[in-house]
Amino acid sequence: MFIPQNTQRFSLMDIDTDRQSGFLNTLLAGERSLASNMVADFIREGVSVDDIYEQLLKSSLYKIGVLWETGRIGVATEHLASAIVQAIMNDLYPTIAATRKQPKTVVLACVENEQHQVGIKMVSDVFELAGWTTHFLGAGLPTDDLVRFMNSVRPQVLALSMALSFNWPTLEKMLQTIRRIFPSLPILVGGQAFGKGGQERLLAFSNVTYLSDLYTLKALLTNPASFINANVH
Amino acid sequence: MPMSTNQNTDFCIFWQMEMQLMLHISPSIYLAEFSTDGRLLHTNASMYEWLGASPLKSLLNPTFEQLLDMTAPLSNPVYNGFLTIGDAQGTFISLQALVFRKDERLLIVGGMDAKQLADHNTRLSHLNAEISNLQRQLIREKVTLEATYQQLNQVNASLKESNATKDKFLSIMAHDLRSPLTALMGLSEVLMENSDQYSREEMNTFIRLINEAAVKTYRLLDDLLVWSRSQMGKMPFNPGSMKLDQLCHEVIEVLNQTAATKRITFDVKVAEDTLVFADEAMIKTVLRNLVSNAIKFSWSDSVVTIFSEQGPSDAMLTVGLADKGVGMTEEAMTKLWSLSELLSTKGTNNEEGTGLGLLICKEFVEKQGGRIWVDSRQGEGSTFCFTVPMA
Ligand code: B12
Repeated sequence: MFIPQNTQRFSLMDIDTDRQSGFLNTLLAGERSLASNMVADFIREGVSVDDIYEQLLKSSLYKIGVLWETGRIGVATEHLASAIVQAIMNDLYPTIAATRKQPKTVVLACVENEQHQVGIKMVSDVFELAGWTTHFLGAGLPTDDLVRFMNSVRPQVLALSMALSFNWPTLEKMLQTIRRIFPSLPILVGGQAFGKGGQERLLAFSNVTYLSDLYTLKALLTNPASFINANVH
Repeated sequence: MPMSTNQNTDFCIFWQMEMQLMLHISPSIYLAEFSTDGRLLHTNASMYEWLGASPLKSLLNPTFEQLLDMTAPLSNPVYNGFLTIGDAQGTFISLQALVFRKDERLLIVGGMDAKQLADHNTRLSHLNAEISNLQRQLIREKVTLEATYQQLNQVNASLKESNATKDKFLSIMAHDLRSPLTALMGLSEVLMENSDQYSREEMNTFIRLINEAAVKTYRLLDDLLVWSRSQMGKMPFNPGSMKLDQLCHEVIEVLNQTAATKRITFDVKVAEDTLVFADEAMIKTVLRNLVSNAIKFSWSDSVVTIFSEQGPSDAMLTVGLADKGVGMTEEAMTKLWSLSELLSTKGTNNEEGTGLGLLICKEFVEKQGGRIWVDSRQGEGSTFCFTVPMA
């Protein structure tokens, strides 16, 4: 069994800080097409989708979180930025959707009540780039609906995202319900809530793994010895 | 918690300076005072930005005239509701506003309902997330559709190809087999009915013609069989290493008789130790077809040269057959390799062919990992080359 430890760097190219802050400024100004063009330039330069997600989109959104925390921007700007980021992800999506698929299926969702869906969308794209058929269910899906959906598509993996620490009890309830119906299904979890401690609470569940970012996920998906791949025929 | 009137008065007096400052600098408070004859008497910074050069015209709804018509009991607002200000052609905003009137003066106090804005913002952002997810679904479905469309095109192309194969098969059956068989029937009928009327010599001629027609029919059937088997992927393929010059001589041996009728000779410039890695039956079929073509299109008394040289890569050998004969036009060269353009040209001695020979060569050369091409000049001759892996 292979589980990647902490955040190793698997990236080939780093996006420099000047261009990172240039991108952040276009986001804050709400310049959607300018931001799209900047990302298109990175793609032309050969920067990979996961590097763009990690080093450009995610890092900008985290900085926006800090700006919000320190009172320099409001929720509306946060909304605008995440809308632009999702529009950019859709710009990139045709290529991602066109990757050849193997018979492996993953269902991805946010923990109930969670509105932060950008991270898990990125996770979905990394799965898709690795040849998985993805069912991205997004934010705000009740557990009952999730279970019903999983019964119909029978995934090899379930991926859940949680950004808000106060959603821990919800996550635990969800995991209990899912484990009752899918006793051995591998479950991956991630999101900012886990970075704030409490990971030991996952030990109560079998085969639930926390991953910190897209690089560790990619390592897991490309390693044939990982437990995920071992379960796929 | 809302304040009582007393507290309120105290509060306003205590904070009077700060309140005044606030009213003038806050971006969320909009203040304007007009005289009833339409002069702008006073504004704060945020309102000034929207009223611009023609303040009266910037009151879009209700208009200044409408506000003047409104009346209310003393110290009550004449208007309480949304006030839209700005440039009707450009941008405008709707303020939550109160308008008061005292004597000949109108006071407009407006602002944004932050709660409503935030609420709308949240709803719009959820809507956007939903639409963005939906857009992904659509993108995905579009990608799938495009892939399906491409597959359909491919299937369509291969259906066309196999349809052309079938058509060709039928047309060969209909035309090419018909003429030698008609000859066979006619000649044998003549012999059957009037055999006693012909001299021995005449009889010999008939018998020779019958034999020629039979051989031709047989060759045609043989080509058809080989070709249709290769089309169906049923040809066995067992490559091994073998001597090229030996293969050439074996093929020439079989065709020497035919070559002799036009006094054509062969010059084989292949080194004795040249080894190729090929399927024996296939490479022999290729060589036989190319040699018999060369004989067919060569002038009498000419030489057909067979040569080989290393290249285009380290592992490949180029084998060539050069003849001195009729050659062909550019146009004819492009049509040589396609089934739909299939053409059979008569040789220098009116020899006929099936038009299938070169197609079979192409199939077999490619099956062995090589390529085949021709270089030709009308009236001078042709050189056919193909590549084959070296052993
Ligand atoms: C945009 C944003 C929003 C948007 C979300 C829009 C949308 N459709 O997604 C809106 C405005 C709706 C929002 C609302 C709120 N937010 Co908010 N938001 C953010 C912000 C700025 C960016 C989030 C984001 O997209 N990040 C980028 C993604 C790519 O990062 P990520 O989620 O961490 O994902 C990465 C990894 O964690 C990992 N990962 C994530 N999930 C998974 C799952 C698996 C299986 C795996 C393998 C990996 C993985 O992969 C990703 C790539 O590396 C963050 C700031 C921040 N630091 O992130 C705050 C933040 C997340 N929000 C916060 C808060 C408090 C709120 C609100 C409660 C209050 C508010 N700000 O309005 C509400 C709660 C709403 C709700 N019920 O969910 C806090 C959370 C604190 C905490 N941990 O508890 C943050 C951190 C801001 C802060 N600094 O305090 N928010």
